[in-house]
Amino acid sequence: MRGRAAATVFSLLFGAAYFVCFLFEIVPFRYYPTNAVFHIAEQPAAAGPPILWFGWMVAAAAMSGVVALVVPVRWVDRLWSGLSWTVPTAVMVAMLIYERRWFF
Amino acid sequence: MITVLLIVHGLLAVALLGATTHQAVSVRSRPPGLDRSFVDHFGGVTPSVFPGAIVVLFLLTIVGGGFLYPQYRLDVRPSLEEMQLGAANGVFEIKEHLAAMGLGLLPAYWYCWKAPLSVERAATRRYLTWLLAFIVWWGFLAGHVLNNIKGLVP
Repeated sequence: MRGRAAATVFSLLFGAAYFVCFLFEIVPFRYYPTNAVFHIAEQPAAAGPPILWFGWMVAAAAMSGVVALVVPVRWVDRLWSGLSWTVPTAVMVAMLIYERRWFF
Repeated sequence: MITVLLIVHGLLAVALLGATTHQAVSVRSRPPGLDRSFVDHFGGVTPSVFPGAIVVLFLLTIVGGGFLYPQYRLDVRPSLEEMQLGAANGVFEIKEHLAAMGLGLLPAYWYCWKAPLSVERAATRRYLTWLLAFIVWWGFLAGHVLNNIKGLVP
């Protein structure tokens, strides 16, 4: 039961947490592929372009993982099971709307 | 080395695409008593045997993508910007976001398909499966278009 509840909460929150991290550039670290190094702080332009994707995923996993572990199972049991797909779908739609900036 | 990794990544993506598509078609509701079409036969699989393979393939594919990403960031993206192909960059941005969101869906997807399968979670199982299939299809198509973009754009 604990595993199922944690999995549900994790999946429910991960997409939203990732999207927030992406929108506000919340990253615990950045990867600089030019020198193949991770940095916690943002580096000068000479370090080359950073990759934030790994950091967004780790931050989202940490946020949703912590919540998933502390939320009581009985709270999760009261939730509609469909939230585990409706919330991620809504986040994906929001992300697609935001990313239309590339096309228009 | 990067070429080998790209080919392995592509092969894993093909396997993942096949598994998710079979499962996605198999969970659609079908009216009973009709003649069985090609699509019915295509989806005539036992969907509960796929989740383990799909989770493993998704993880392996995204790890492969993670190793390929630095090369993309250094070589491909600047080329796309030089060629003023902003839409192609956008397609990749969406691919990376969807892949991450798909990763987050895996725990709920896995538990939904874990035996015993409850009837009241059938709709959740179906929609999570379709969502994952959409993510995999986007990633696959975007990856192939970007990989071949120099041949596609004059």
